[in-house]
Amino acid sequence: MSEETMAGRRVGSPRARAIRQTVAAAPFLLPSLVLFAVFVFYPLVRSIWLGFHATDPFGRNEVWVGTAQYHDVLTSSDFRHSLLVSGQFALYTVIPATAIGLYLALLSHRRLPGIVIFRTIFSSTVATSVAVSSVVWLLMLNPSVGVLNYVLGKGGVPTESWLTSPTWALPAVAMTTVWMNIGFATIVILAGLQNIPEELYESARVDGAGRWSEFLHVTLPGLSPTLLFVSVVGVIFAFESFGQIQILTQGGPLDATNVIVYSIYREAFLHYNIGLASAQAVVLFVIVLLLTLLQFGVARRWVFYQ
Amino acid sequence: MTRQSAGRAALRLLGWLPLYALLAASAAVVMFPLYMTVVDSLQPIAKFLTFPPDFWPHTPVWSNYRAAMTSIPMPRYMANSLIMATVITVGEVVTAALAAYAFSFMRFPFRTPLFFLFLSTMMVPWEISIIPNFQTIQRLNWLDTYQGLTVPFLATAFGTFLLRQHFMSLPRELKDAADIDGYGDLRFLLSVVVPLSRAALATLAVFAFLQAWNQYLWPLLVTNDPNMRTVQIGIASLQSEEVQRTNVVLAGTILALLPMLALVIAFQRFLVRGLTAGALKG
Amino acid sequence: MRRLAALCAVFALTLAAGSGCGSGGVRYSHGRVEVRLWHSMSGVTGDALKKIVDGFNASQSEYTVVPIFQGGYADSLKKLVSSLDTSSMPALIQLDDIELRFMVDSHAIVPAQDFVDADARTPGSHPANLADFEPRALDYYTLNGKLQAMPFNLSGPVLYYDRDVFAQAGIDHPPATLDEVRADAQRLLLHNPDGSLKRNGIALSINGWWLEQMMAKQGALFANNGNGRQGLATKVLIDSPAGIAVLSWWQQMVRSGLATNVGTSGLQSLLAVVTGKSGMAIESVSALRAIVLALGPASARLGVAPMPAPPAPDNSGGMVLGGAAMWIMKGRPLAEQRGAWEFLKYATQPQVQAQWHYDTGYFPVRVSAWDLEPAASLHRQYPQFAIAHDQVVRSPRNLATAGAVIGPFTQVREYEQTAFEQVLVGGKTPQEALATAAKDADRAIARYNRSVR
Repeated sequence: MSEETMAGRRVGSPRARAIRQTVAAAPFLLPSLVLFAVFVFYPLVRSIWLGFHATDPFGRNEVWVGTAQYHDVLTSSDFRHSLLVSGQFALYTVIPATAIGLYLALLSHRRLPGIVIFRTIFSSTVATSVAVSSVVWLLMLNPSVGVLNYVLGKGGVPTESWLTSPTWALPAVAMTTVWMNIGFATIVILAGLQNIPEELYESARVDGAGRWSEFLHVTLPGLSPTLLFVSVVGVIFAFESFGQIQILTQGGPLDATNVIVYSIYREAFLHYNIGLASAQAVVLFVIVLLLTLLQFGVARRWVFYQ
Repeated sequence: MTRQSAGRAALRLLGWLPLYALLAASAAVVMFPLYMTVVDSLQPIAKFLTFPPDFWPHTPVWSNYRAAMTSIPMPRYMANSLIMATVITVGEVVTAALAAYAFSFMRFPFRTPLFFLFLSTMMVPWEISIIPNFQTIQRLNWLDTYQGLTVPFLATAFGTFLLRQHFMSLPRELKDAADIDGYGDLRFLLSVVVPLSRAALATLAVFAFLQAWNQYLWPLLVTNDPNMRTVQIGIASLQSEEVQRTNVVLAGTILALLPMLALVIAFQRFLVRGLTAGALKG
Repeated sequence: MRRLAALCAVFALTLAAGSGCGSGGVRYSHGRVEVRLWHSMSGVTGDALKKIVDGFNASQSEYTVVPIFQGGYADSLKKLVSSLDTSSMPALIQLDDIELRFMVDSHAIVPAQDFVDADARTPGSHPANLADFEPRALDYYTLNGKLQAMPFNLSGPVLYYDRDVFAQAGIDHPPATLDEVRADAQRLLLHNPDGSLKRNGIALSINGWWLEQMMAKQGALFANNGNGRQGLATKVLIDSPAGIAVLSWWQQMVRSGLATNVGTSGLQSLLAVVTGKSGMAIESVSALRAIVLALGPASARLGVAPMPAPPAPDNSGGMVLGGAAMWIMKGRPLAEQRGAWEFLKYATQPQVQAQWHYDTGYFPVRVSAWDLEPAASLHRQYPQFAIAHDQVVRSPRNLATAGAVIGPFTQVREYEQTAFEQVLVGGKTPQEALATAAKDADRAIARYNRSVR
């Protein structure tokens, strides 16, 4: 690093200064820029390009097929089905995980002896990975020897072959994911609760607000950015979910758990249709982009920022 | 302590009792799946074919844990994960610190557009890059290597963003003083900025490590050699391959979880800061 | 690159030892040429394969075979495709039967036939004696007039049944046709005092393989153009009467409660018989060895019979003898290919195959292995193996029993499985479900055929 470049000597034209500054900044920025170029921007372009080409299963005999594969994806009922499943999966995971996280955070957001232990327990599942959580739940969900059916049976609830039933497979996979995400939701919401100024509660009390009205008029508005964050991240997690599907159901039965990433994976790495899989990924990218923009638009309207 | 105040304390504790009961019940539900896994990891294999299941290991088989370390290659998997997660963590922290420094302390043309370019990478979902990135690694002949496992993750916009937020909060006078002392940028970064940003760096590091350790899809794609499997791929594949040793696999699962649990508990403070960085910047 | 690889292959067959062609040089370990073998044998079968590998490594000093378990066949294939033209590629890979067309189209393999022919031209070599190989296995893996891969572990589906339960119900022989299965299942039903079902007739798992085998048993082709053996297959024929007959039976059995659908795990169906929840099950013969090992003498109760199927006109039907085979990869240096071939010759020796059969229950690849020890004593102790083998020997050799050759067979299997699920839990008729599956399969085949042309 040359020390004189930034030492504040006023020499040279603006152009020379710009060059000097660029030279000085380059070593700081290039590592990230190169990596982004190779592993983020190039893949984006490459995926679009792959979507216009078909190859044999081994990635050879590349031929231009125009928009045929994009057309296939947009008109295929399988792709729409996968989008729907992903949407359902997001719904089944985000709402319960946020609600449970909110409940656990409210429960442990008090000054009580030993409360730290409970907070730690509630946030502990943040340490679990998809693989750990899937292996843990695979055993619980086993229809013949699993604990879940035993407990349900004791409670008089009809038992199910959870992962092989087209009706129950998606909720079952969602349940394992909810459990895994509770920790994250609890941690973030707890932090959000701590950020709500105490004065707001005090003035609410002065106004004679009850617990419920305090929750509705102070806590919830104060938490709205946090809850939005938790649910946005939850939606992103849901749309990226793969491991639990691969380990628990492989997309079945009857494609009931064939979420979009699994569908792309299956097309690319089990059916070896790289072009078609890329076209799916590109279409998904566009959809996610639009959804994100929409989400921010909506958020601007109702989320209460301090 | 007077008798009266002791009585009040006892009364208060009594008042808390329902709350504690609720807390304990909630904790039990949250911990139940892990608890059952621990129980099952201590069972003899024959117990897996019996119904109803045991809720307590009546004759704990501790040797399952020894078996997990010796007869299935858990140590190798853990070592792979450790190497992968460490390299990614160090890489992310270094690239993010460098870039964040440039964005907060240096002047250069197109600074703002470049920063937005960085942020825009967060909008590109991982799904779309999987296939091309896989092909890139394949073409570089990096399958079954640590560079294949790590290099695509060495830079993050999230990390840059997080550190920039912190660097921006440092007093500008520091930089002026450093300029007068003739410090170069790198020296200023290393000897002034980094020591003042330990907490922010730790936040990023904990976050990066946790994410890297728990990765699934990418290691699944780029490792063929069982010796290169990470712990996540290891337990997921053992779970289907070693049905006759499910108890040992579960012991391995617990072993895979423990380091992360320790990390989360020890560095919870930093983790919270990392997780909420996005949420609370209104 | 392809031309270079082809050149390498030519050299491989004319030179005794090769220089480094392909990706990377020859791998050595302790001065021997290292031959990596990717396989999918775990548990008992993995140990048995290890035994063969150790035997080979001890029998000579030129090559060291290193077995690497790669998960199931689909996992292994996925890894192979991703490692083509890279240095991670193995010299030898074990893949299941349905990948035949796919592997041939990869142009990444050397047909086993080329090594057989090269041996025949080379004085002093010990050629493989193909005359003693199970001809049905050779039929399966022969395409374009060449033996493409070396058959290694052969299996087929059989009917497992509980002999005690059959005796109690007064049934003296296992069912041979689907109608007989239905009749027997009716007699095997057992109710609890409260009226609920304690035992059903048969546990059925969902697997496209059952449909393929039951069609072959009826002498019906699974795909057009002679099952893809007289020309490229372009259509599957599952929506034919032979296919509809199978799925209709399946649907009726499950609907009437005579059968229970256990999902996609064949193991679960066998467990149902072992635990007394079902009277019969259809599963691969490859499960038999593990069961016999686990149950010991108690396994005498477990009967084995040829897989039942609708009767074939004029005995034209039989079993498809697929299983899995070993492929030699063209991209590895000649010395490794040579080592792979020497290993395959060793692994298919009658004596080695007799032990392999004893250890795993897979049908031996060599005809003469059947009567050698320890195979012979296994048959004396557990006659079930001999019964299972009978249905192999009695199968006629024709295009139907040679098995279908389709490029995207994995995908076609998925569509078959979907058809099963739609019929059993999705409320579709067998005709509708099979027509949809056939349409989807044909589209996948067309896409595939176009891409490899």
